[in-house]
Amino acid sequence: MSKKILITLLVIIALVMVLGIFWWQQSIEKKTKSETKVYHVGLLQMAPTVAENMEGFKLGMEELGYKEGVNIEYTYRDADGDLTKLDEYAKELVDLKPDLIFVNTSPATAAIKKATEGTDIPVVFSMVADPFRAGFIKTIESSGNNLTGTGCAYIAIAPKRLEILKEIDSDAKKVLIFYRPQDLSGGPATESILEKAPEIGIKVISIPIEKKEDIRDYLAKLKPGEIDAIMDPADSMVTAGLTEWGISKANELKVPLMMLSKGECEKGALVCFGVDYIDLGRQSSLMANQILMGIKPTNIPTETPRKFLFVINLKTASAIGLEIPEGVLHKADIIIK
Amino acid sequence: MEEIRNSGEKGLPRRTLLYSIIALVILGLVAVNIGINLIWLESFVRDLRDRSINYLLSEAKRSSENIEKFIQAEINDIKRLSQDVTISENTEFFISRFLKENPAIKEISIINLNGREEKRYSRKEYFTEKDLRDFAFLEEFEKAKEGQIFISKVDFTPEGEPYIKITAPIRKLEIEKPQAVLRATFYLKGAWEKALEMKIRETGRVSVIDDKGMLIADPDPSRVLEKINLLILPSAKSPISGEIFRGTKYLNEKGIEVFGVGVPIKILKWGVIVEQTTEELEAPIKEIQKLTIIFLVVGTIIIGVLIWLDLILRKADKEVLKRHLIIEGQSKKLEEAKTSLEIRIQARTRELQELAQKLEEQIRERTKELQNKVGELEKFNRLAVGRELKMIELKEEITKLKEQLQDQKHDSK
Repeated sequence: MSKKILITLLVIIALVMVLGIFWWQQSIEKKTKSETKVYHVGLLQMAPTVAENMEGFKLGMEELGYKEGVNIEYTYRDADGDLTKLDEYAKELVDLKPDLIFVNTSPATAAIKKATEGTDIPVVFSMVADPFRAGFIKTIESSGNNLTGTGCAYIAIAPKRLEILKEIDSDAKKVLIFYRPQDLSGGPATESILEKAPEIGIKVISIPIEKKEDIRDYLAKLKPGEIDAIMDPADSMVTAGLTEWGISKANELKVPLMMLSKGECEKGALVCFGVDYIDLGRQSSLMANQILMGIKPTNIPTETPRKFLFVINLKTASAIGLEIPEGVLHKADIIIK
Repeated sequence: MEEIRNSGEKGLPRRTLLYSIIALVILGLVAVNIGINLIWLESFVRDLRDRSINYLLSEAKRSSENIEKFIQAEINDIKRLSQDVTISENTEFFISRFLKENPAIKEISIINLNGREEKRYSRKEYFTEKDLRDFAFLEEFEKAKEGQIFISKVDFTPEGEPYIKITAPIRKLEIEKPQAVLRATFYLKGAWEKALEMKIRETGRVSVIDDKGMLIADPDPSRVLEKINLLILPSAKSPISGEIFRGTKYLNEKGIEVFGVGVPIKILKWGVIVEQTTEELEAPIKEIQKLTIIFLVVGTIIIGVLIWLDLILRKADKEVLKRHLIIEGQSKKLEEAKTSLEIRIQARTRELQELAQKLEEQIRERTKELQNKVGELEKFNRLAVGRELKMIELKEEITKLKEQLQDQKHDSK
């Protein structure tokens, strides 16, 4: 065989092998790309007041390597406090058959629990006052269903919040609390406050309500000196009512108002002690990651918050003529000046 | 021509024995090639496996360091706090600030030297007198009272959250006698949150065991709640003895073959175990092995085919050469015949030329002779004709003269 033919054949073989390797690499890259799963996560929010929790969740997911538009896609719905919309959105999200649903607050979790019945869509809830009492989980260690998540410990921290209120204003003796007896957060939290109040040296005036406007009506009749402070026990309707009418009334009566989140303090409440919504969202994202890694929600115990946020509004303090003790100021995470 | 056709029919690839031998040689080459390359591949694979194990070990070390650093930082903070709180009027301030800055520490108690808990601080819960306990004669209190820092074994809340209790003597200087004891409840989840969330490809898993081999942290919390002792695992024994375990294959609790390495968390004599399924760990090795073998086999077959083609074409070349030689031989004979013929023709031509020449000469001679004869004949003819003509002339003259004579007779008449 002539040398030319042999060389030509060898060149052809070399080319074929190079092309083969190139094709192999390409196919591996293609395979790797196609194997990069894009997770679809549904997000259901009760109201914009807890938006920080949702932000915290997304932030946490990003820190864990889930980049929106790359390997995770979110479908976001906000019911804006409307319970009818909540059910509608819950069904809509479930119909999309996502890999996971993240939901915050008890009413939204209840809607999602109902909508996911009969499916195996995992749900991570957050900001649920008492998931056990709400019937979302069988036990703290194991939900026994497709749900797991982070509670917000509102019932557990309720007496502590009252204690803080007393530390801020040692003269406070009569504290006004609105609550809905049937609410899974506000009801038990009020009970807990009522139990510990005598030890703290406070008399609690607990007013049951049925609708938000009951707060407005009660506050309208309130006269100076009838109460020494107002406190939200952690009831979403009470939070909304006090934000709308309570802040101005407390300032008018020159009494401290104890709320739950930083946002309410920014709107003029004197003090807020509650869960760090952003961190709670982040904490929930760790559970979502475990689920996306293949662990069943029932195998992930429900958690309580890692961090709490204590905010004091010194502008309000000044407006109502209250001097906050130095020792309390040191405990605060955020001081609004 | 007949001879050429016969040699062509017998020619190329129809000899079974020859091709069998060639095929055997090629197969032999393939086998030798694969054998040689597998020896090379074996060392390459070993190197690759070592790299994978080193990767697992480095991840285990990183987890261990993260956990150790986190716990050490908290212990140092507790030590500092136990010195700060000696200034009694600021105790609450220091503890409140500490709890705010260290969310992993959920509760702090101040215990007097009689073992009575004087106050309990928490950022989340409200405690009253009724909640306070007596710690007298408990190991954690007695050790701290003696001036030591005591770290309890890992315990779990009803929610399955692991925690340890750290008790430290309250005193300004280490040489001083303790004024009281500080007890902190340290929740560990935060300590290994980052470590456990570390992604080691798809199947990699980081777990933490305590000094007794009990699983205290795992990506699947239900395993922790099951209170599993992992001392049966080869990767668990070394770390709690303070040694690094470089890894081995074994079946995990689900019966899946995994490769596990272990690294100690020296400060607490705990261990970090990192496991990855051997399927995933060795996937790149298997891929390389598979592809190398494919390339080897394909390459060797191609080379074999080339050799085969070369052999066949060599044979073909020989046949062609043979044919060339035959054709050349035939041509030579033809050439010779042609030459001989030409020579003969030339000779004949020469002979003919000579003959022609002779003939020409003879012709010339004959012509000359003939010309001479013709000349003679012409001469004779001329002579004969001349005489005839003279005769004619004479006859004519005679005639004329006769006529003239007659005329003259007439005239005379």
